[in-house]
Amino acid sequence: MSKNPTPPPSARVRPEKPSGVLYVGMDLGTSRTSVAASNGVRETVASYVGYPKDVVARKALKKEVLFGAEALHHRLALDLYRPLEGGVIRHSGGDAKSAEAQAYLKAAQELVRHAIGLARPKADELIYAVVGCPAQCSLQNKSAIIDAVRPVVDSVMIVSEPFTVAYGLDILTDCLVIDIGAGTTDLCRMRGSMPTADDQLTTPFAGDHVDQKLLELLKQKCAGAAITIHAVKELKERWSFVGEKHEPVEVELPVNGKPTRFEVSAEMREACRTIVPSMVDAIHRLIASYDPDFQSRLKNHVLLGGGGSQMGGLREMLETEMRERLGEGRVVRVDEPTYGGANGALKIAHDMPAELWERLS
Amino acid sequence: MVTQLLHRLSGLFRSKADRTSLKQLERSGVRNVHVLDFARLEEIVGEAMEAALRETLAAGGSAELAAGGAQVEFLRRMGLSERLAARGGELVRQQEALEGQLDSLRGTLAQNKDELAARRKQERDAAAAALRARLDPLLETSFGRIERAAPPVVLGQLRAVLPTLRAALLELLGEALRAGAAGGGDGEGGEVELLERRVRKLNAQLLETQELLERTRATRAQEESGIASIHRTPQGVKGDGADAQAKKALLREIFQHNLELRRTLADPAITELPPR
Repeated sequence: MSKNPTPPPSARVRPEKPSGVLYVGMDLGTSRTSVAASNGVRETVASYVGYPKDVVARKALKKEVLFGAEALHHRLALDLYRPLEGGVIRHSGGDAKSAEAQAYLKAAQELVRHAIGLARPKADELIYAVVGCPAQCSLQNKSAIIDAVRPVVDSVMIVSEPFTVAYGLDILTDCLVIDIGAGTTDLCRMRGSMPTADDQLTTPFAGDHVDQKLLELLKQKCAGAAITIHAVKELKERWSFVGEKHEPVEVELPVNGKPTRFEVSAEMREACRTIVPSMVDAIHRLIASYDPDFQSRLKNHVLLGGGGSQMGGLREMLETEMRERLGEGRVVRVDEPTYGGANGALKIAHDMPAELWERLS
Repeated sequence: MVTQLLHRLSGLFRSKADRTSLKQLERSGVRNVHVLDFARLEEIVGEAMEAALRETLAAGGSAELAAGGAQVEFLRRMGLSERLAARGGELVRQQEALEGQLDSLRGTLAQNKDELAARRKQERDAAAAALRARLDPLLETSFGRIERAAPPVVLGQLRAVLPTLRAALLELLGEALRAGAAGGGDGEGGEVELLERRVRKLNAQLLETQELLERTRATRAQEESGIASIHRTPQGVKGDGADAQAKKALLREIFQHNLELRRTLADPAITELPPR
């Protein structure tokens, strides 16, 4: 029974001397899980795991577990899991032995295994992985992530997600990284050493929050339209913006089975803007509590990453807010928001001395 | 009952496992081992049995089929593709044997049915002849009594009715004989039906095993065609410049943090603390 391309280390054929080392950087995200590996492979998958509901579904789908877009496509025939919430494995903060926690942990392990498989490792390679976790991840959450990853790799380290983004860009001093994910928005200021708890802030106002708000607003605006959270997410990924000027957002939604067009620009803007105030507050707090001699550098070195950074006009809006509240501000969007975290994690994995990897294996 | 069985499993696993020392393993050149604890093994067996029982009972299968199903489920959960292939072969052999039994039984049944039909026809004919032999004197006696008591004007009509009445009585008795003969033979039919159900179940298991094998083969092919890393040996930050030193210090901090995390997680007193 193979559910996905990569078997656990215990099932792989291991020669006496490994023939290579595959470094993997992983951004285990609430919405998407991305991997970048030292064999040049980069892949991303929506963080969904689905198991056929019954024997009939299993026979029809010819798979025992489905992932990402395929799982979403067949969701009516599946027990669908989105194993991460708020950037961490669901229920990992509570009773880890409960049936529900175990089910989500299992789904997360399947997802991680699938993601490692997407990197297409050779069977005889050692796999050293760095996984990004939210800036203020609890001990239980880290434990759950390690439990999910360890069975499928030879050694794993956990690093704060915004830190991985900064490391990937080689910007380690006087810079503020904002990583807007689905579950959380993480902020981390870099001061040339490992960020401490005081250097990092996490807010729950992120992509999922926008989805919920947009769903609420669309239900009010588009009377009679049938709309699901999955459809809302797709609309947001295509049309999200926060600025004043934007092309009209016209969407087609089924009303009593008939596709009907609605103009929802105002609703889209309002929903997307809900994440801005908490982000600006967090930026303000991190800058105001930084060494005064270096605050100006920090203000002019704000990096915007993660899927949420793609919102039209967000960079400009943050700069405007920073100028109003802090006197100045310059925000730069990272080139590859989807892979920013995974690229940085890969770089950390690669740079980590071999003996340190071995001590953790 | 399953729970009680599972409680005994760890003892069974222990008694069947080979003991060796770490030094012995090292001398044999083994550098890495992967540990599967008894609790996990019990869990896998439990899951396999549960899945097999659920499917088998739903299909009205026997305990033997449930055991076979549990074996397939166990192998699947253990990811043992070779054992799974062997189990697939075993299922094919079982299916062939059962189909052979079924064919032979069908042949015997057809022959028995013919013989039975011939015997029944013979018995029915004999019974009908005996009935006719007893019916005619009975009718004569009865009509004789009626003729003696009846007025002379109806005697002719009574005699005319006699052949019709005789024919109707014979027809009724013949039907009663045929209905009585139709009851037997259910035992063999039931056995055939049971065997057919077993063959259907084995066919389903076989298809499932073949699907699993196909997927396992595809996975193996995919693994073998993986893309090699550009690194043949472990890497690490190179150079002694200020940047490299700063990075090394950062990486050491990341390592220390992860090492501390492992130590903390390994300490049950700390990991059992309520969540923050």
